[in-house]
Amino acid sequence: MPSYILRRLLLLIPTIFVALSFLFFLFFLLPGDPVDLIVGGENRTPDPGVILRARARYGLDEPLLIQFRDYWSRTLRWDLGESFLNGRSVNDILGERVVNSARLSIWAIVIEIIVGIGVGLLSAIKRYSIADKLTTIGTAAAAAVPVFVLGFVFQYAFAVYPNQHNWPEWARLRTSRLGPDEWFLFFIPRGDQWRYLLLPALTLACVSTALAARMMRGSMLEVMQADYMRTARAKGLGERAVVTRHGLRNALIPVVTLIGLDFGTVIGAAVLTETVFSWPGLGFTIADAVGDRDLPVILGLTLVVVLAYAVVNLIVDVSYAWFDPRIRLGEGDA
Amino acid sequence: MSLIEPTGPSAATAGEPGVVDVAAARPMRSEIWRRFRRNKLAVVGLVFLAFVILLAIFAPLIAPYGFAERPLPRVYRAPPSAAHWFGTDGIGRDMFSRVVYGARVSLKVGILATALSLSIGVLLGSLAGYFGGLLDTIVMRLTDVFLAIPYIILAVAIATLFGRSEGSIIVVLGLTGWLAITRIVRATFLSLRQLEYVEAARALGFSRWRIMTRHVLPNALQPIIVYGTISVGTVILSEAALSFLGVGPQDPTPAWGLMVAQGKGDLVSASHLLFFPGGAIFLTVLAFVLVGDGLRDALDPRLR
Amino acid sequence: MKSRRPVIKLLALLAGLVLLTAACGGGADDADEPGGAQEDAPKTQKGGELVDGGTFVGDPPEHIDPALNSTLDAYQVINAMYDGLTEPTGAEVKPLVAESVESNDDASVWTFKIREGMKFSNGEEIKPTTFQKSWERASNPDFAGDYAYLFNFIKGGKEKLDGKAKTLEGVAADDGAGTLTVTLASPYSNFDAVAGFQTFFPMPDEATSDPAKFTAYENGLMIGNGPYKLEKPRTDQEISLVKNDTWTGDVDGEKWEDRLDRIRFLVNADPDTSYNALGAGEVDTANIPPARVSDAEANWGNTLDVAILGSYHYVINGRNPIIGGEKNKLLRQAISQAIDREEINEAVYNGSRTSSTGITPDGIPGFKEGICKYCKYDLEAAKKAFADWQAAGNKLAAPIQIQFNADAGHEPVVQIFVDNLKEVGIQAAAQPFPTETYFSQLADGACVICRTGWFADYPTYDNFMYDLFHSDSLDGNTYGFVNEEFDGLVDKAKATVDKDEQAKLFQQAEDVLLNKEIMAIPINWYKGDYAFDKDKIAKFPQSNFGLIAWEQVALAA
Repeated sequence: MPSYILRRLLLLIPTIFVALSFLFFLFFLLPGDPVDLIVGGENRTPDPGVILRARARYGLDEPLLIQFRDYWSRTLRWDLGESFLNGRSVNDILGERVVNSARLSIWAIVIEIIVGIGVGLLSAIKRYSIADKLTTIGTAAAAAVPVFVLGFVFQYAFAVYPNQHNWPEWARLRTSRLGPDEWFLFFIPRGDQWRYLLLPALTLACVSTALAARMMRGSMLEVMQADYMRTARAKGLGERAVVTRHGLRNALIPVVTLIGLDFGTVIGAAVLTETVFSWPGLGFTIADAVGDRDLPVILGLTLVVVLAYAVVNLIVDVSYAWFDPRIRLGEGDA
Repeated sequence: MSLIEPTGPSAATAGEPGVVDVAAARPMRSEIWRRFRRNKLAVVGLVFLAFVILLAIFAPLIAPYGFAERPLPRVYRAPPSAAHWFGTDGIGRDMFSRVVYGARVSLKVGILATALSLSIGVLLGSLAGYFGGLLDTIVMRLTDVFLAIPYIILAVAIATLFGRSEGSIIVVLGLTGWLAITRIVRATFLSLRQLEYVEAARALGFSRWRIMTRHVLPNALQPIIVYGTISVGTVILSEAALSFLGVGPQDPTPAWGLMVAQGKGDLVSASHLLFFPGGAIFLTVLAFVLVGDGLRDALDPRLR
Repeated sequence: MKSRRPVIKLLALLAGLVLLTAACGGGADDADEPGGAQEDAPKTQKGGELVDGGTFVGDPPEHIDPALNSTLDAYQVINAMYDGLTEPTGAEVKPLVAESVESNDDASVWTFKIREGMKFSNGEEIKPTTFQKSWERASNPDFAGDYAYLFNFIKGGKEKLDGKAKTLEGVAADDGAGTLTVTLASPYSNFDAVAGFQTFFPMPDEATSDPAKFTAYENGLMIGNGPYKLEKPRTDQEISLVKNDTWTGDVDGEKWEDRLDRIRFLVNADPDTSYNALGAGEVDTANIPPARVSDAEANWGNTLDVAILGSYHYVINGRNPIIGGEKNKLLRQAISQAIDREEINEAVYNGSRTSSTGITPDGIPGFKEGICKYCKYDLEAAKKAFADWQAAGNKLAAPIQIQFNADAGHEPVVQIFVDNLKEVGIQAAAQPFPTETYFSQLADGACVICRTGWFADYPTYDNFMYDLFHSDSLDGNTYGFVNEEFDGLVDKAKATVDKDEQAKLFQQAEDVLLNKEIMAIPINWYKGDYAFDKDKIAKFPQSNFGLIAWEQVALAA
């Protein structure tokens, strides 16, 4: 096991290197000189002198390969540089954003695990029941609504409408932003914080929960027909014991994979949710930075996203061993 | 399958039950259809899709006005009426006509982008799965790299590179959607190439190309078909997401996603601007998912 | 000055100093009549906190350093934090930190007498050398912001910016006499207004002493001399200002202690979210997206009736053979007359703007109503002009392309534009460009008829004529309007000290632009777009530069 983990960690190095290098070159390939944008070129024609000075200031007048080399030598020292746009240190921006992203994704994943696995499991056990049919339609429907529409509908229904109709205070949620930023044990909301957290977490969790439920249902159905389940039943074990002791663990493997992948992408890719709710996380900062061609911010934040993604998935892979003792880590690495 | 939030295409994995394990015998065509018919939801979905396809084909005959036309007398943001069944938009265009024409755009984007990502995915996945070794390692590491990069960065960057038209949306979504299918196809090939009949074909001295295309690929078709069906729906949702972020198709293109993104603030004041294109997206995506479900159950004999 | 609101992503080079605009008029005077205060004398509450959600809708502020900022939204914050030498209000420029402003006869040398005892919020005194040091900082070529080119007005400014000189030759400060003397590169009779602009704001010693720390200054606890000061360093989510107790400016006849104690600017990622947050009672102000104009009129206090000194228009590339040149004048006339500006206003902006009759808006000294002859919708005249143009042997080989930056709310305008032209028989098509590269593509000659917009920075005619259309100005060159007669009139007007004479010359120049050459197509003039909770806010004055006079905002009792 330790050697497997070590090998996986080593494999991270080329992945991260290629990913960031790819982005580095991609952004030099895009039309529009980053310097133009630094000096406000998206709004007017900049002064040529200003362009020259800015180019020199950010080292953008060097040949591309030299810049590339410098970028990596800085990154290896965890010097992520400063935003082209406002001179803020990328480390500071990261510090603000990572925690917010983490909190939002933790809650989205919690919802996904509890609701997704729960609903999927029930649906599979009570196959052909009304509840199962509703689940099938409901999960498909939840995955068919554009996320930002869902977000705006939530805002209106749970924050604007209750406020305009003088609902009791406990029934009013908040439309946007972080709120008081008060947490217990890093991620448990304190005081009023939950009002700000609930809607974005639900919005972000909606699609992935539906998917997890669908996958859980399918996986469970498949497992229940497996030979070893038949054996277990034949041995005279009760249905409940069969399901929990033998079925669940096996059925969870693909679902856990899905959730692991979600965790990684949720951190960096909750762009829509974060934008709709003005939640100051990584995703919407990265999307903004892409639009502004703010290279240090794009690369710095992506580095963290890639790292988080890789580590979470490593944990997921290692957890397979718990779910299914037959899986011996280290054989194949897909 | 990968009906993930449009901001992350990564959900589809080789772990999906009923998708990977295709070692089971291929059922006959009539048998598949019989089983598909048993799933009422899937049939409803299929009928709806047929309806949407007809709308798309006969849009000019069905729509009373052109999608960019501003009919007289002009009314702006008017609610549904006899003259304008779905109301009018901000500059007086007939929403019903736009939604009808929108079927063309959305189906075109959905199908072509899916075709593009399937082609890339099937090619890379089958090469990796069949040949294994270094090639496999490279392809898998490549998908790792792209799974790790937040997909929206790529989408926004590519959209900036290719401009913001229907065509570039197809390229964007095609180029970012191949990861899952690559993994699925690879996993399928990995499991298939060990099988006896492939060994036999190899022993008979058939060329690798022939073995791949004639013997292995047909058996991998099930997951590809199922994934592809659902993916069309996903692409239609992603188009809406890109429009919301400002890198989608441009007005006056009657793309549903664009209309929804433009109407995002009209939930209360002019809800028809959000409701009709949004409903069109919702029903169409739902139909693709239901049909995909039905296909999966019908194609995989073990589940029924 | 550009506004980064998604819907009216605009351009303007200079931003107006309106520190206490409405205040200085002492209430109901001229065009500065605040929009939010039309309720009859509501009872106000002492102190209190205002949570603003209407200023930053889209992106967090890039810069809040006056020397670096170029956006209208961040200027709202800077405006609350700093006072400049002067403040232009409507027709005249009033001294502010300066006690008096004088120029020599040909307006080439300006003397600012600095008021005694003016202090930054940290107690540091403001002296003439404070300004000199601040200007050296702002014109430092390694630091210079988007607006640094304003130093070109000053003698030696160009050399300084080009790195050929160490200091601004034209600036002399005498702390003993309390005077700041500025020698200009060429005579300019409106320099007193420019000197009140943010680029020329005073900065404390800690900001000007170490060039290595220039860029980082705005990310710490910036010190200013205005009515409000930073409570803590800014983040990308919030900028929090508290009352600067030592401030002594005008608060519209009331006591400074009674004004807002704290203003929190919250950043929104989306204008509709900002508006929803107002509806949910989380913020006190919001931006009004065009689709919500009627809703805002019905339910909220708003600044929709405040005329903003800004113009939304399309310019024509004179170098483009399809549409430029003398022979295509009739075509340009037909296009301008074909456009139904009222319809655009009603359909796209819910009637919230004013259809323009010229580029320069009402409220600018020297403004003349109806200067543009071809800006009225006249289908018959347009058809005739187009027919005459065709009769002269011209024809369009392909649809005329109309350029605009995508996803900034211009699509519907261009659609109506295209539709209007079709009615005349002119084929046209929309050509969206990515916002990131829009202006650089225009600079490369991509413009045929291209969208642009402009917010006034200070109330001078040249802020529109010179900055937008003079061939020396960068943007004039971008669009390809080069006209000697026009340039001559503007140059002459800029150096003219007599205000009436100056106004006439500017009007003549605009006449050349709009009627003789027809090189720009005015569409409309802006209005305010703040909504606020009128149950909570009693007074919310917005100046016609778009700036909120924060020191005069009062909560309802």
